[in-house]
Amino acid sequence: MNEANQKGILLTGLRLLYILELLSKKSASKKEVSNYVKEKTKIENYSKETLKLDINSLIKSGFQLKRTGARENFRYELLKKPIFLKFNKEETETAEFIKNAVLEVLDYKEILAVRNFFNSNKELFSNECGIFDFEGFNSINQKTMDKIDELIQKNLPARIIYSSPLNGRKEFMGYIQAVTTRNNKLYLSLYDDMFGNKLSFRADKIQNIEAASAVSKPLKKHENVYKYTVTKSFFDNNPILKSEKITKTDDKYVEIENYEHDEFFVIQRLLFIGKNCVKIPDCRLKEKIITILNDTLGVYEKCQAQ
Amino acid sequence: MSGSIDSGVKIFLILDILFESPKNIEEICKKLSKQGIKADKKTVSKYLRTIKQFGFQTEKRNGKFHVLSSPFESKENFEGAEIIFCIIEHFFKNNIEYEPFKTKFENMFNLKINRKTHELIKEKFKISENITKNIQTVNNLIKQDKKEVNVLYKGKKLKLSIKEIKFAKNGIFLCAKNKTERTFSCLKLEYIESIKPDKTKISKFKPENGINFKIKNTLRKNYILKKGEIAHHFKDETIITNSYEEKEEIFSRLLKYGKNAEIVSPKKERDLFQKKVKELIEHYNSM
Repeated sequence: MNEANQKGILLTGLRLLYILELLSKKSASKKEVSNYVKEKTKIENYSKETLKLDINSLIKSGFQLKRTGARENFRYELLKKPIFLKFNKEETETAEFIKNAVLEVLDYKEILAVRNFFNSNKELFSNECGIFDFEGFNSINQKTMDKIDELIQKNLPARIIYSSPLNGRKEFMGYIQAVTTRNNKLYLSLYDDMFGNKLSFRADKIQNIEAASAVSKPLKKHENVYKYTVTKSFFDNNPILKSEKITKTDDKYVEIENYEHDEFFVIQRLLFIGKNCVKIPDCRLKEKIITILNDTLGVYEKCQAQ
Repeated sequence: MSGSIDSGVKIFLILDILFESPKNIEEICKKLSKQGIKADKKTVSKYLRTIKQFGFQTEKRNGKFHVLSSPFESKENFEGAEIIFCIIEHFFKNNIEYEPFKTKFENMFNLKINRKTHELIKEKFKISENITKNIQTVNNLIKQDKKEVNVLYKGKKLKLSIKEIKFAKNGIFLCAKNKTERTFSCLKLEYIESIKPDKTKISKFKPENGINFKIKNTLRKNYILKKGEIAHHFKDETIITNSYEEKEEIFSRLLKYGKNAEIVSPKKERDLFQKKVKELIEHYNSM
């Protein structure tokens, strides 16, 4: 069959696209397909043989088509909706770049929204990049996060079943203090009366969370703010953490408030900052750091003595 | 008959070719012929007109055809899509190279951009023209695997080996091995005046010596090996050999591990680390 040449377009190709358009909306009989194609392309004659050839062309092009039996009146059915519009490799790389920006700067709700978007549209992106890797956010259950939000808003105590990599399955109860992001992982801080302490859980290891029955002791919400001052050159040449907030800055120094809920991570941060930290108002915190450093030094001096 | 079947396959092949990446007519012909399908430029032009006639939005940019929308796609709502679109607009505001990507995105998703999302993105990411220019340069260099670069930073010339771009509340940083100062550095993109590939023959950069350190107690159970590290397991301890990171990077990590880590060799680095810890103790005591 020769290509019909209407206004410099190829009629065969156009017919196929219209058939695909119709079948992607609903199944159709031969007559319905024929009428649709004639209406759209403005052709008068569209033979059964040509229709059959067109259907075969669609199958040859990789579309999953099936013809139902007598009961369903011999209708053509498209088994999978065609996806044409996709992002090419360069565009996928740009999207991955943006994903990294989201992961490193935005809050957990926004990170999860973007994660859910990519996971729901996997077929649209080239899969050669790490675009779907949200690190510690990969296995977070959205229902768990919705429950956590609800418990925080209603100020209800939580009962958590947690799967610890070292200690296995355990149950904890208490009030949720905060949801924090650290090193691209999401943590839940819980104030547990029994432990009299704040506990930190990886959100992706929480197996189950629900409202607990009322806890007997009244609980106070602990708001910790750790303050320290760093050199301007450290601030200019290092990314600050999500939990850090700048309170004052001048030519030489930058004052920071760290809203981290777990003191362990604040100490880690200060050890990393090293000599670039010039002031820590909290003497207790300073003493803890000095103790850790002395213990570290002790390891080296003990070996020397031996 | 066979001509008709070939026509059908061709139109979908051309769509696939264009969605893979924008192409001019000659490139489309070459791609088709690689798959054993003959099509001259005139025929390919007809196919492109047919695709447009049907309802695909196509655009010619720098001689190449882009397909920006499809009548088959039904737009869906995704909160995440709005966040991504706001970031694309913010980062690549005046960059026409990203226009097709933005248009495609708008055509594929039902975007209800509210002012709040825009404001949030503007507040979280402080972008200037220089930053956008540097982001693009670094990404292009990474794509071409030209990670050894010469950089002019605040008037200073530096030789770097690019690791990655890192985002933070206080700016966007180029993180790299600093070959000039033999450290690991994070440089704010807004202060980088120029970045060019380093064409000198010394392309691979290795630290002078590897460092061996012992890990103990709970650190031994939880430790995750970093790039370039090898673990040697013994009965009561594990020795990690790191021959990738600069010593300052390793020292920063070891400080965080406290008494659960100890440098074993070389003696020079062990002594240096011990000295660093002493200096830190004095520093904190004098605070």
